[in-house]
Amino acid sequence: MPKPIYLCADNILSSLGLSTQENMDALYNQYSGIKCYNQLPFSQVPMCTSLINRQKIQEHFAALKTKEKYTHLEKMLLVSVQDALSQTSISANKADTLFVFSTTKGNINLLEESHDFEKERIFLWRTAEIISQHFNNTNTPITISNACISGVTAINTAASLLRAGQYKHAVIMGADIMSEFTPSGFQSFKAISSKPCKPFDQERDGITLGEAAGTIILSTETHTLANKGTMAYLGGASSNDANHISGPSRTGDGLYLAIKQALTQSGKTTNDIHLLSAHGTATVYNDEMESKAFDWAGLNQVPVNSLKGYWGHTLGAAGIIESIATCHSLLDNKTIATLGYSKHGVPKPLNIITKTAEQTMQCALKTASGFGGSNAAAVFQKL
Amino acid sequence: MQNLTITNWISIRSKEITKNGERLFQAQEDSFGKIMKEAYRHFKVGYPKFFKMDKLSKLGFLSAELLVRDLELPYPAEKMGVILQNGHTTLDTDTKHWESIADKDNYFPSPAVFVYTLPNVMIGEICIRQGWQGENTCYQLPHFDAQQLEQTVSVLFAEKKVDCCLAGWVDQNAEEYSAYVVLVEKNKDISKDNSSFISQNLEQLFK
Repeated sequence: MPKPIYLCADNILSSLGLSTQENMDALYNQYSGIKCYNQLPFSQVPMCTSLINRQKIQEHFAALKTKEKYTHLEKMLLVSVQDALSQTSISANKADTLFVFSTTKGNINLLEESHDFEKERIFLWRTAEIISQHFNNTNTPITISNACISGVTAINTAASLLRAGQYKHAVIMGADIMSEFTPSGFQSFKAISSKPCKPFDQERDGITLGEAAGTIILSTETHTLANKGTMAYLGGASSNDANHISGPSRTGDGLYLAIKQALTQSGKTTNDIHLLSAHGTATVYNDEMESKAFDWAGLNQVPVNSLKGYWGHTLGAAGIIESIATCHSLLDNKTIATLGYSKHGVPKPLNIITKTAEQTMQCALKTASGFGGSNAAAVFQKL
Repeated sequence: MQNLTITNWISIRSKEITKNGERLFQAQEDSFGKIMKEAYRHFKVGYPKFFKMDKLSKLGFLSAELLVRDLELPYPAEKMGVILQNGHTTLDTDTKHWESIADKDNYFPSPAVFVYTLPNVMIGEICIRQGWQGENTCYQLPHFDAQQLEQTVSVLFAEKKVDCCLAGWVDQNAEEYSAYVVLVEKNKDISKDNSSFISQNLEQLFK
């Protein structure tokens, strides 16, 4: 087994609450944050989505007592990072702490609205700078924009740099927001379901979009731990389908390669995996592809869930908040059901979790796949 | 200590394409779109999908294409990585998508445009063309950052996730563009000065 990298603290900020605990309580109670609206300011058609309570973000942001002006996305990140940092003894302002940011579109709403921020404010690296500077960190932050695998890749990248001895701690934050930009694009692809998404189900017909932010703090040192048990990141990898820029592989080969490499990196085999957190967007082709890759990797019997039925697809935040929920699920020895799933609708058999249950688990695999033919996987273990 | 070598390098900027220190191409055209087309024809690329790509993907695609053409890369597909940095993300294409939805009386979002609003899609285009399936990540930075490139690529070799990696900076916004891309290989002694994959050499090559 490679040298573990410890998960010290985390935060999930979503429609289901502004702390990891609130979110976990909702997941275990199978309560979804997705609501269906006839009218929304950012959609031309009725839409189901999972939205953050902006009033609450504003209240938490006000408590930070900062004089600077921030965008909505930046406020989400500040609140999320602050909550995670407050749980540990790590100093964000030290040179051995690295900030890593995962997003697809960042402050994209600045393209749509008139505003008085500087013109660089729309760039993704700028958001990472703004946040790391708020916490007085002087390292150049790492910003990853790799479609829907951004979050898992951010965790993998941060852990690799920690393992290489470049830094001791990493604050990995991810976020994306709802504005006109993204829903209109996915609608043009006819990829959005008119109902809350149904991962791996026979009647699944598209994604539900959602907004969220999340933070994971990784460290090479155990004294920084805030979690109720000791969780470690073991290893991960990314891969490319080399097949199509918007359609997933027909065979699942790309995702299979990422899973295989992530297991190799972790010194694990499929038999060691007790829980599989899939991407499970609920588009016809994505879920089909994932079932083939999981089958190929010999993961059919492993309890598997998709969390998209709770938060929707939160894009740059997805890999982060879904990894956090997966780790807490291991710590609590409690499985999370795949909300929206009732009749099996993918070509290969999978052991899909349909209700919350007590179960002893040690080791989990998280996967993600996205536009550009990208796939990523990461392995976490309770020590 | 890993023995990582920059075996080939290419730059595309100011209407010029330079490979391994030699000027390969000087464009006659002035606009970025026309320069890309002129280079595509000049190098007889023969890949019609090129014309469907957005400007950023065209620049990334052409950099990779010209960097590795005629090279024999005896590595498994899953050990070929592509790590690119970018600064303006896909602002050009984002603006195009926004213009197609801003006017509600003239609302025509297009999947062919929207898909290119993610900067890693240029990496997807490179992987499709070259058949590469390894590590792929798109980093966002205000400018070409040789130090971060060295950091993020070296760890992939150290962890044996890649045997060979195409790495660099590909950026475009309106008429501004620059591409600085290298091919990094392990245990290849090409007995040239400054060929070791370290940030100082990257800075020197693309000064």
